[in-house]
Amino acid sequence: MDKIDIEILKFIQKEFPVDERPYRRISEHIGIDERDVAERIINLHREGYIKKIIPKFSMESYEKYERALVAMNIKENDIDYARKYINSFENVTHNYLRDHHYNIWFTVSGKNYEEIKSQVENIAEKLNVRDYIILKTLKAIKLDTEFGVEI
Amino acid sequence: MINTYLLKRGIPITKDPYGDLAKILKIEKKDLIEILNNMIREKQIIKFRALLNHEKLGYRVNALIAMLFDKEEYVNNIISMAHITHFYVREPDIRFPFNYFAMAHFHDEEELKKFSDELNRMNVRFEILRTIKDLRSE
Repeated sequence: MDKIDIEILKFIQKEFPVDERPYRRISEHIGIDERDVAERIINLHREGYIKKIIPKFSMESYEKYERALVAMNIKENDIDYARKYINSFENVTHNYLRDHHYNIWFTVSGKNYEEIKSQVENIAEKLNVRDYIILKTLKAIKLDTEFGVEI
Repeated sequence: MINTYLLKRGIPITKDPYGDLAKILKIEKKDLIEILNNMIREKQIIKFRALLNHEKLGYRVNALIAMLFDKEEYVNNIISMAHITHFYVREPDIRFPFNYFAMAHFHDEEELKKFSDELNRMNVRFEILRTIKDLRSE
């Protein structure tokens, strides 16, 4: 990682251009040539600095769906199976292992809360989990992913 | 359809990102660009951006902070106290009685300690749920 890589990361975490030649657009801001930008971004991705390039949704479109945070108490030995099963649903967007009595935390979206609740009940039944909570999302105050890039 | 794909997988990070995405979606590259620009114009999405690996950038201590408080004015205080990427209001559960949830990222344990000291000073009841693993990144 050098200074130019850092400039590139700072730039693309704010915006990755929608353009037939996105690297050319980025190169105009960074001051190196298009091919160099492409190579650096591909490398930064390979080395794990960039996870992925995804859309940032507006609050309006975020609020079109009901959402909930679900926490389950899952036995150590069942975590891997639970991870795969939970991740297989299209409407699951986050899934984390945490150091807590409720060790698996994931988010689910749906048309309404009833739909979410019945889906979570089905997941719990399939995973043979009795101890879980569904925390309904009332409002998103901040949805941001930018990090200060230093090093 | 395109929405779900983009959110899950994202734009391929290759020499020709939109060209390769168009191939996956079996459409022309110029049509894809137009569709995406339309989605932005219609405010379905704001823009595209890279999601970086915060641990690799030095944020080694990551936690979900569950908090219970009434004073809405605390929200901005808390946002200014740490690097917070997500902040939600949720309905408390009897078994987990917290109403504010923040995803917070710290460089080290000391930063987290300062943050929790500050919450204590504000008399906010809270619990720290450290991230052990992102289960979707495998």
